[in-house]
Amino acid sequence: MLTTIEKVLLLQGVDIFLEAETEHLAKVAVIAQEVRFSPGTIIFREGEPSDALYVILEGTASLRKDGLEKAIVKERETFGLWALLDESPRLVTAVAMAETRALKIEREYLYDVLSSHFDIVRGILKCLVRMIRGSLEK
Amino acid sequence: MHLFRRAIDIRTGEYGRTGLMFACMFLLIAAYVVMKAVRDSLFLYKLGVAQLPLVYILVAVFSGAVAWLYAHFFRRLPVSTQLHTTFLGGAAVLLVFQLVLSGLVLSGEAPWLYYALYLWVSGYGLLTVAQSWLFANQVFTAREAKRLFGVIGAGAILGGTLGGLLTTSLAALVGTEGLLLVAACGYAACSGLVVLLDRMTRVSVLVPDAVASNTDDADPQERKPSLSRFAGYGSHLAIIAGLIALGEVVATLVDYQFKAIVREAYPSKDALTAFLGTFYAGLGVVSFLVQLLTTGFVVQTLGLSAVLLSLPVTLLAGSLAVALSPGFTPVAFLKLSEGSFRYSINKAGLELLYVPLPLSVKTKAKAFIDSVTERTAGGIGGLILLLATAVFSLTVSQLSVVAMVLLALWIPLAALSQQRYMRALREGLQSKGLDSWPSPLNLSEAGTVALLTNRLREADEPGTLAVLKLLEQTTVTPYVPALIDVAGRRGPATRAVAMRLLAEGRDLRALSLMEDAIGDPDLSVRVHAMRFVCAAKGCPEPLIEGWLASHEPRITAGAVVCALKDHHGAVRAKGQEVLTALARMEGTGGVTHRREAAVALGWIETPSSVEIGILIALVSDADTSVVRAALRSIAHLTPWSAVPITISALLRNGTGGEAADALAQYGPTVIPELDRAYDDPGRPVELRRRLPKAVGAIGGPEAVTWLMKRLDEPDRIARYHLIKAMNKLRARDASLLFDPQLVERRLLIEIREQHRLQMMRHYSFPSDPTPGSRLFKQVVEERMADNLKLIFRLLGLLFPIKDIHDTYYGVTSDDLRVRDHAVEFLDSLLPETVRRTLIPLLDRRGSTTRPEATAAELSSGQGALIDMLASVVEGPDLWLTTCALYVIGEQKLPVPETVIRDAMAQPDRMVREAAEATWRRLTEPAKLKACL
Repeated sequence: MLTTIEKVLLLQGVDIFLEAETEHLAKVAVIAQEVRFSPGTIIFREGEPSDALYVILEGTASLRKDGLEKAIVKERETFGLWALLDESPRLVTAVAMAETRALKIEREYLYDVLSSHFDIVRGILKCLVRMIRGSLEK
Repeated sequence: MHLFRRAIDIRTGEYGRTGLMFACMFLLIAAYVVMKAVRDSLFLYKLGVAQLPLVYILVAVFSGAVAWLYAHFFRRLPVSTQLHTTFLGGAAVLLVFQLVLSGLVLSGEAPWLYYALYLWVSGYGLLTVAQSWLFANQVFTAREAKRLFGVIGAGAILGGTLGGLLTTSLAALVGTEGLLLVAACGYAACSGLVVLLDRMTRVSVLVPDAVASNTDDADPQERKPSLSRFAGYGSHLAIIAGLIALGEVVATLVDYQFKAIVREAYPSKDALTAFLGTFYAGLGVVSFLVQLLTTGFVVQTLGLSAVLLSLPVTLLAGSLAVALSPGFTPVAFLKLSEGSFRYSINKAGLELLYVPLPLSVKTKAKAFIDSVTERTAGGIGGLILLLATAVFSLTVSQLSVVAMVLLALWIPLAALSQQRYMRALREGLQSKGLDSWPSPLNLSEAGTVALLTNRLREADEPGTLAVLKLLEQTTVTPYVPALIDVAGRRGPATRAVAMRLLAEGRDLRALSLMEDAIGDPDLSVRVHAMRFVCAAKGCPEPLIEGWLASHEPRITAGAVVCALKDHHGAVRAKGQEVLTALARMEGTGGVTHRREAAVALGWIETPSSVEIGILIALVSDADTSVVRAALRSIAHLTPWSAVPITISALLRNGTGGEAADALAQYGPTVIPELDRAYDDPGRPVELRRRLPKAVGAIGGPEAVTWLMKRLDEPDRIARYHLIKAMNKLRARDASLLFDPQLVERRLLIEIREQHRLQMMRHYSFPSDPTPGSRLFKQVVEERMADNLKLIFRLLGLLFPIKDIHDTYYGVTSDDLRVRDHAVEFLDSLLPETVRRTLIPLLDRRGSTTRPEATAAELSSGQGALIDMLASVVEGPDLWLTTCALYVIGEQKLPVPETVIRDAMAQPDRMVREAAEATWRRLTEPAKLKACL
């Protein structure tokens, strides 16, 4: 089981948290649960209500839509962010491709943290802008 | 040793530039002193003292001509190019003088030659000195200048000493005229040094005229050689010019007194030259000592006024001595004090006065003041002397009385300089802006109606709101069509005001709009619309009852407000019944109903206890939007029984702002309640972090007293919010007083903490970098940034907020010049106790200095590291404690067992968890064995 500070050290390398002060990351770390998935496990399904964001610590996950693989998520990468923010159903199905260890951050708790720590919000906004820019440039 | 270090504080990266500038000033002044001794000796020997007043006047005229020619032909060139060309040209002219005066080219001893030499040496010598200081101003930043100009000025004074000694020893050997060759060699060497400095620093700043004249689209105003470009700095420049002018006039009088006495004492030419050389050497030594031992110290500790007062006060004493007892010794003392203070401490003070000016102003103004003003003043001095000696036949001692009169003007001007310097620094940090709205008075006048109607339709949102505000003062009848237009298509805030004005106007042209607005999202619009329709149709009760029966919560809530505010009896009772039903609608589907009920409650001016009870219950609602609406209604009604629940709402995420605003509406009477909540040990620390905002929003002296009482709050974040609340209070009401002694005491504590953090940054871990050590240092950096903000917020309670705000962004800027300017401003602003501790912290940001290097050396031992980590673990900062515990475990540092055990007993879960993990790591047998 990871301690809070160990989670902070892991979260520090995640792009959406790059702007965050370490003490504020500790607040995220407190609400982040460590979860494990064996290969082939479905983490969530397309169309399900979105309730959490995931950060992969070890292993990889495949994001699939209509059976087609759209992206592979690796260590220190996040998935589930878009649906989490707009509260819409999941856009894709996430499947663990190997023994996968991740941090699960539930939306309600994350919103509480975001409401008082703008530096984290700023990091998320920057990350979203990067993603939008990336998709526009393709 | 400490004094010596303060006087010579050269830092990494500055040695090369300082060394070359020192050498340049050294040679420049050495050459100038040789030239000056030759000039004085030949003039006094050949033409006598009686000609001196005339030559002083001619020097003024000649200098003006030189300055004009210089500006005309050289202004397009960078300062460095101007300077090294001038040095080479000067060396050539001196060579010609030497050949002519030695009789090698021309025979005879025409008096004009000695006038020419006097004029040349005076004009050229001072021009090169002024240009060299201007060049130095570009080579160094304002902050560097303050530290290093003392050292560079010492180079100039040492040069004066060498020049004097050379003159004395070579006068008999090569003859007075032959010394001009020595001076020429000095100027040639200076030229080379300027080229080297220019290459090293890449400072080739064009003066503004050069830039303007090389740019096709430059502002034509910029091309005019007008003083208008100095607008805004006039009074500051006038002070500089005044100080220099008075200094020059008095110096001319003193120079005359000195030369008159010396000419009498030394009848032979070479003996006179040798004496002048010795005197100038002695003058150099005294100046050097003054410069080295007192200038830096006086500048840094006593301030600019003291620096600029030292010369006139000394001259006042000397003049008094000459007036009372004329003779060689008192006159020599007067000249010695004038010469030694003028080119050391006084010069450094005058150079500092230029520092706050923008480069464009500084470049032009300095060239003008240093050359033209100084020489003109010299001319005026010559005129005064001419009158005094030729007309009034004043003696040397009587001239001292004239000098004392001038000193009576000089001394108050010098005292005023610090104030002007501060103002110029402040203006340099600020930016200006102005926005205003014209205020027509007769709103019914046809032209005004047309103008405002047009503006209502075409202006942006703020513009429209401004017109609507004006219309509140008048009948809106002529504006009804425009208001209907605005209400139909503008944003919610504008629409609400327009609807209110239309409702109050009761013009039937608006009826259709009002009927449509009964289901508007904005409750205020709905209420105005319902009232309008009721009044227009003349049957309010049935209409309201119909709306109360609606299934649409928006319409129901609007009707509830109308029923409770405007009616009695059955309609009111029905309204209360519907309100209760709305507030009790359960589940997610009932959120809109409950929110509408919460908003509607805020509109009831005299709510009953039942209605207050409903409102309090809504503050505990599961949905944040309902709670926020209820808190806004509490802010409007301020029922006393809602205070405890509002305090609790401060802690809820997403409702803290509304809760603080609501508490603020109760005014100072609620402060004792907040005080009790603050001290309640059963409440979480988070409440202490959120209460200051509420108290600050209340405002007034009661809020100040409460916030000041809590200034030593142990929780770092709560303390930050307390001080932030005080800043906001002060920004709103500048008349509020914050006890400066208490603030300064806290400030010193925070500065000490910043020093402690600064030291912590330099500790070396046995294994570095590791994730733990990196995190620990990152947290220290974050704490330093937070603490710096806190320090500046405290300063914002002592000094003008805008100044401190600008200075904070200055000291945290990446631009070295901006940072230096800000530190320089603070250096002049802060009281000695704060300045002494804070400035070294800011001064060394981003550069390695001796104190930091010492800190790094001190903190290299493991014992010191363990002591530091143990003190952090035992400290109040829980996150830093957690990180320290982690790094102790990660690096297996032998911290005393009790430190970890105590941390394991901490109430904070994160600290406890880290302590337990560290304990396991330190006591794990296998690893421990491996470690051993």
